[in-house]
Amino acid sequence: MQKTPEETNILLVDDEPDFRKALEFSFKRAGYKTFLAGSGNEAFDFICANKNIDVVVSDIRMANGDGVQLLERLRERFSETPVVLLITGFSELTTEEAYEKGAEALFAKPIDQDGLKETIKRLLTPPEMRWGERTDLSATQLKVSIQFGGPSGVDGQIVSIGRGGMFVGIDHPPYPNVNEKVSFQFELADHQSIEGDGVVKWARTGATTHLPAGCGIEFSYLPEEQRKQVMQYIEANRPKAFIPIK
Amino acid sequence: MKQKVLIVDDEPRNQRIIIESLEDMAELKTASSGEEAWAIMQTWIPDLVLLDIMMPGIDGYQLCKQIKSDKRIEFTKVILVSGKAMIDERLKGYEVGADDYMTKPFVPEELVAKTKVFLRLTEAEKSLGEINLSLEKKVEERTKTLTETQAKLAAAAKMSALGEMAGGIAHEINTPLATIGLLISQMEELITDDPIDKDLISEHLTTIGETVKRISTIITGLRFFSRDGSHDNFSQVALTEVVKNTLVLCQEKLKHSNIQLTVEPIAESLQVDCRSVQISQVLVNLVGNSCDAIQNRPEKWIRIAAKVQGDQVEISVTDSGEGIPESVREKMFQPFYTTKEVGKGTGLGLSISKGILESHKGSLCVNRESKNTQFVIRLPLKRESSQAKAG
Repeated sequence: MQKTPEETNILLVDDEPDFRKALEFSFKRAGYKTFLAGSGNEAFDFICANKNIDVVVSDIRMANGDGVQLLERLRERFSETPVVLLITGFSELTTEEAYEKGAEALFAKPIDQDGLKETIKRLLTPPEMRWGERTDLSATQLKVSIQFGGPSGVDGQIVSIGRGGMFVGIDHPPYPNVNEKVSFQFELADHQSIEGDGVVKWARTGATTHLPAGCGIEFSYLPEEQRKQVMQYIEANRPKAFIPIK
Repeated sequence: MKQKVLIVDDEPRNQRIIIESLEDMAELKTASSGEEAWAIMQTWIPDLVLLDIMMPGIDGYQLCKQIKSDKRIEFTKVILVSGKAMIDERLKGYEVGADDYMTKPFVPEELVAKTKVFLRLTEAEKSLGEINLSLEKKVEERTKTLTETQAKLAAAAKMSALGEMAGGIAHEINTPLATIGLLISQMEELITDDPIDKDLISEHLTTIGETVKRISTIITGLRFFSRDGSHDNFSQVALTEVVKNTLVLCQEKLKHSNIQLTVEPIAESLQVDCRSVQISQVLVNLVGNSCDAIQNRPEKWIRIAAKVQGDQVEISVTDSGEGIPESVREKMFQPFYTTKEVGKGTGLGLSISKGILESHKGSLCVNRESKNTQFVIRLPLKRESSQAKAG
């Protein structure tokens, strides 16, 4: 099921030739097949013409179709191609919005090369395998335990599920920290109890006019039976968001 | 506190009559001559002087004149007192500044009544004077605050322009930084290869060197622009340098908006005497405005040109817009006037730019003859020597 780097086609999108070249070198050396585009529009046309692109790594700020537009157009057409956005820390797009729009991961420039490679490897792993390994947690200490409706840890309520994670509404402190590893337990609509692990990708520690307080969690581990339940749920609902914003 | 009345008369009898009438209503002092009266007034300023005209030495007219020309005792009222009732005597009294005139022998009730009127008048004038003084002080304070606020606003407008560019600048710096970061980690891998590909490493190093230069150009522009240049000395600078340093900051915003920027060649030798940071601020403002204005047009370009016209240099910033509507043109140089959406502009850019150019004895205007939107900056090439001293 898992493609080898040699079987993987990566499209690298950035308007800066030197950066594009350096990124290309890095992935080529790791064995990937790389393709380059200098703008969002060019990338979109390329993907339409070559449907075998497995993952897109794109800058956000570009003339002729920026990275956000590219992501939106892709999600309208092929909801499945993973997109990793590269931001500069000053972009108009917030982390929550990026995941809501369907981006699988975000990296800030200057980028952590190993982290990016690691993420791409993970994104190219189908969910049933990706969520099957509990390696993430053995390496680090578990800090927060989210028991939805439970008596201890962070107390929250699951509100929605995306393709790769979920939004948890939390009305009052404590809020988990970003990048914190958490274990969770919740019930799907049919009272099926789901337990698993995840990583907090963002936390909104106060409600805004349109959005409730809470946090976005990416799934990292689900036990086999429950994994199937969650995947069936995703299959049935086909959410656009990777992690919903609310 | 009781008001003060000075009685000046060389006749003790007259003094006594007046004292008897007024002792209940005011603090009284007496003098028997003009000289004595003047000496008293150096330390004791009366509200009213009842002044006899006919005295040996300094007479009443002279003393009256003296009182009226002394700023220190400007509120003191003078009533001339005399046995004469001739009209020309009275007129002479008014001429030297007397406030009223009474003839002897007087009716005590009239003396009391007149004294009351004048004391009231002095008091009113005094308090009016105080009000005026405090008003003047307030106006002075407000003017000072206003000047300070204007300076702060100008600085804020510049910072706001910088803030609008900040995202773009951060991107413009972070991308080359990311390139350097990638190349370095690649080289770390490359040096473990056997044999080491020296050519490839050398190529990487060249790219890193060039990328570092690019970042430092941006930082130079940023440092140049973010300084407060309002107190800088005027200095002779190459116009092309100012333009170059400025545009490196706008470049990303333009690129992001897909706007073609052309700078027509400016002679290296073309120098202007200016506060270059401020001229840069004007250019950023104009280019920024153009950028916002043509954002959604099918044709997007900005052109900057400079030419010498007599003893001035004319810098034009033209964009693909079709000119500015009359209604906007009338108000656009006014502070806080903006056509941009809320949160997008301070409405201060053009008014501050205009102020900057006026402080350079130059001007900023719109060329109505131009088919496209064109702003023209005019700057004197050299300042006159008198200005040079002042600057």
